[in-house]
Amino acid sequence: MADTSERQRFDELTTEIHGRPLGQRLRIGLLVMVALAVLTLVEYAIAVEVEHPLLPLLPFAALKFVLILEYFMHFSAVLGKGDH
Amino acid sequence: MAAVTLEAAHSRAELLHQPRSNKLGLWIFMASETFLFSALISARFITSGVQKPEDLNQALAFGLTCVLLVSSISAYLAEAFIATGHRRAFLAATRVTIVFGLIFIGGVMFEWREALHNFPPGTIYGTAFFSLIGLHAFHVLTGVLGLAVVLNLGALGHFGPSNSWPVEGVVKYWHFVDLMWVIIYPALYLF
Amino acid sequence: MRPLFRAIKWGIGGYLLGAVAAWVMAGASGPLNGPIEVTVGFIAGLIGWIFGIGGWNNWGREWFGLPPKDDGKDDWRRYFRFNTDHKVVGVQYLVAFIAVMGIGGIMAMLMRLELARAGTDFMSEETYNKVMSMHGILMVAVAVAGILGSFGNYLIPLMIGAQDMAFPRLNALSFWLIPPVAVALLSAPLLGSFEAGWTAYPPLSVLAPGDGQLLFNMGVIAFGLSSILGGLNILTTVTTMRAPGMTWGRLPIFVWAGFSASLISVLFTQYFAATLVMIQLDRIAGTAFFDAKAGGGTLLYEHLFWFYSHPAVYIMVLPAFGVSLEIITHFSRKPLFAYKAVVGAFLTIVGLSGIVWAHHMFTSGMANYFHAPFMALTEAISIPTGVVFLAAIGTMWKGRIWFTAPMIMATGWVFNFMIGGITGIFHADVATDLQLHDTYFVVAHFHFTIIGGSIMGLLGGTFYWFPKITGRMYNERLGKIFALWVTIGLNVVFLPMFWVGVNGMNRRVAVYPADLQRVNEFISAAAFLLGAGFLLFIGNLLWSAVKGPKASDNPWNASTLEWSVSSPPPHHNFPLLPEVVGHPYEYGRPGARHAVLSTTGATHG
Repeated sequence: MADTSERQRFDELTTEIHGRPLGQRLRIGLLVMVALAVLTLVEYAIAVEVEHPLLPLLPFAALKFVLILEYFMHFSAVLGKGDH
Repeated sequence: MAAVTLEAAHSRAELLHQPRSNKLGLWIFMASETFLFSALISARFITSGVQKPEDLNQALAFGLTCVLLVSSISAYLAEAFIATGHRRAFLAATRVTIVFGLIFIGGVMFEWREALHNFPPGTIYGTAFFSLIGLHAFHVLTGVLGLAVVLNLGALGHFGPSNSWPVEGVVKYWHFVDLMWVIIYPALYLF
Repeated sequence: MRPLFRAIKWGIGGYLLGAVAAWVMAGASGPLNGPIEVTVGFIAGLIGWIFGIGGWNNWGREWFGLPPKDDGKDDWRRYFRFNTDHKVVGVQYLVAFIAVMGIGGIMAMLMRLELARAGTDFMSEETYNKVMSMHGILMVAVAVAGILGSFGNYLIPLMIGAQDMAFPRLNALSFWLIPPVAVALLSAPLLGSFEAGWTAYPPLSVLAPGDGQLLFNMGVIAFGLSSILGGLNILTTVTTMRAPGMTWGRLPIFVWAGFSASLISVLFTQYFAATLVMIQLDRIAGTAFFDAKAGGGTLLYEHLFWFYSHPAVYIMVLPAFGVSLEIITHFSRKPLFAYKAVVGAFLTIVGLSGIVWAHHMFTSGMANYFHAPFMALTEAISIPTGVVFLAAIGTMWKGRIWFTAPMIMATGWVFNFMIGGITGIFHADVATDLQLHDTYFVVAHFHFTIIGGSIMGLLGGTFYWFPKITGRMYNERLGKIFALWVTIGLNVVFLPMFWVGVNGMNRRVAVYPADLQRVNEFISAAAFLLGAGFLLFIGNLLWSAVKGPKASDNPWNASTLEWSVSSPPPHHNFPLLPEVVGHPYEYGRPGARHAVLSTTGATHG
């Protein structure tokens, strides 16, 4: 009996977004990808149009950074687990 | 509970800490790598500010960014598929990721042939360009190797919903390489 | 020994394969030991070595779906093998770095031989540069990884009640990266050696004719990798593998010290790697990082280099803080004074270490408005360091002090590191630093901090944990003599250096004004005596490890967890995970316990 419950705990710890169905994951992934693509296009457009694009581009880079960190790499999962 | 044997106790202790350790270790490694990239990125700004040559191949760089973006979503899908038990879809997604990774490396090689002519490493922009792109392309290459390993193991029947950590780890590393590109791309081409 | 021979074969084979491949790619003309050939050869040789020693059996096979191969038998040969037991790795580190310290020490003796006379009598200026550079990098390596690699690996799992490190294979890898580093550095003279010091400042490191600089770069990058992987392992182990009840507030202070130092080494080491990659690229690929003509500059190097190398001094001293505080607590028979403040001080040092680097650059020509903030921030570091001293003295205050060899080392650490710390203020202060920069005052200062702060911790810890590691007791009388010898000898050698520095003796060069010769004769004589004292240390430990009297499990009657298991500890450390119930240093409190060891019953999650 003990073995099965520990096995479950192991599984939970192993798979971060455990329990989330495939469909939901695909939806999140596609949404984030579309967002990243749009942001990249806007970035490119700004760089072509604006004279000194450093400052206007920074928020876009930061936003892309955060999107990937959170939705592709599940960053907040690493903070949430806490102690044993 | 009955007395447990020593071996069982050891493997059980390992069972409990190893998933957390793996995850934390990878994050610490990526934090460390971020410092490596930040050193070269800051070298780019310290030596040459935001200056860039006129004859940069902007279209190619934009194309490569898109290639990396597509490979990123296919890597995400590979992770999602294996975690929900869809092995064949996982294998397909991993193959797509590898192919796009290789396209990226091919694109970089093509770009370098032009760049060697237009702004060789001896110029100050060339220094930043070749070192940063080289560092990043090296990470793409190691990512491709990692993906090839999990693809091979996946094809042999390893991994499943309860045992997807190696896939998750490699995919996370792949996203990390993409993450660095999010900074390097504007730093070299756009700013 | 088979894996070791295989590793040597694969390493040499890899080197040749890489060098020839690069030679063919470069057009198959020119010498086979050209810059690119050496670089590619070293990388391929390193990979060959790692795979040969155990990388293939432990990882490579898994990548192709084969089961990993086992370590082999547990006899003396386990020390010459890719071994995942953290205790074996710790001993490997300790022995290797004491050997490296010996080689570095011989270099120091050669330097003092040359410096005994004002002119260049014994070696040319160029040779002196090379000997000095070798001494520098070897000793920096000892200080960086000496304690963290040996005691960090050996003791942290024991102290937190774990059965091994979080990543045992990575642990073995981080040790086995060290031998190729040693080979690279020590074989550099074959290619003309390196003469830019351990700091490898350009333009000299880029323009110097000797290709030994290439081996220096590659070797130190590999060493950095080992340091990063070791730090990563310690951070993860402490976070995830503490025994039940071992809260963050109950960690022994050495664990906290190792944890803080690992934080620095994991993050900042990359900057040294990056700067050496830049030098390598400038040398072999014609990039212009440090070429002022093309728009690069050496200030870039100094900024990036010190962004690692100032925090690095805290990688060197923080573990020694931990070792010394452990020793002082156990031998004063009192609880560690201000435990929480010390932990806070460690973490404050970690934070501050990253924002003080430019105090090395007051004379470099960087913008003047950097001076005041970096001076203020640097001097702020004396506050957390002062807290550590306060804890050491507060713990000894009214304690029942037991003066053993490690305790003499630890009290010597308090005294000598304090001299190093106080003379550091002269360098943090812009006005005095402008005068003292690049003189022997600096040399004296950092030898007091690194020998007094780090090496004395390594030596003291070696005595303190010797009975645990070997199961035998060292000779206490010889140990005490050696501890006093180092504590006092350090002052005899290095105090006069402050004086010659103030009087205009430049560091890093073989010649100096003739009127300083008498003092230098004295320093050299004292240095030879101090160096000879180490024979006492080596002799004592070697003899005691074989013939010394058997030690009990807890000869010091200390309370931390490593003393609760047998000497030497069994393979998996603890039969079952211990249950921690109290603070580790409750000396003198009736009924207080640190941990309960059970041999039967359930494990905890």
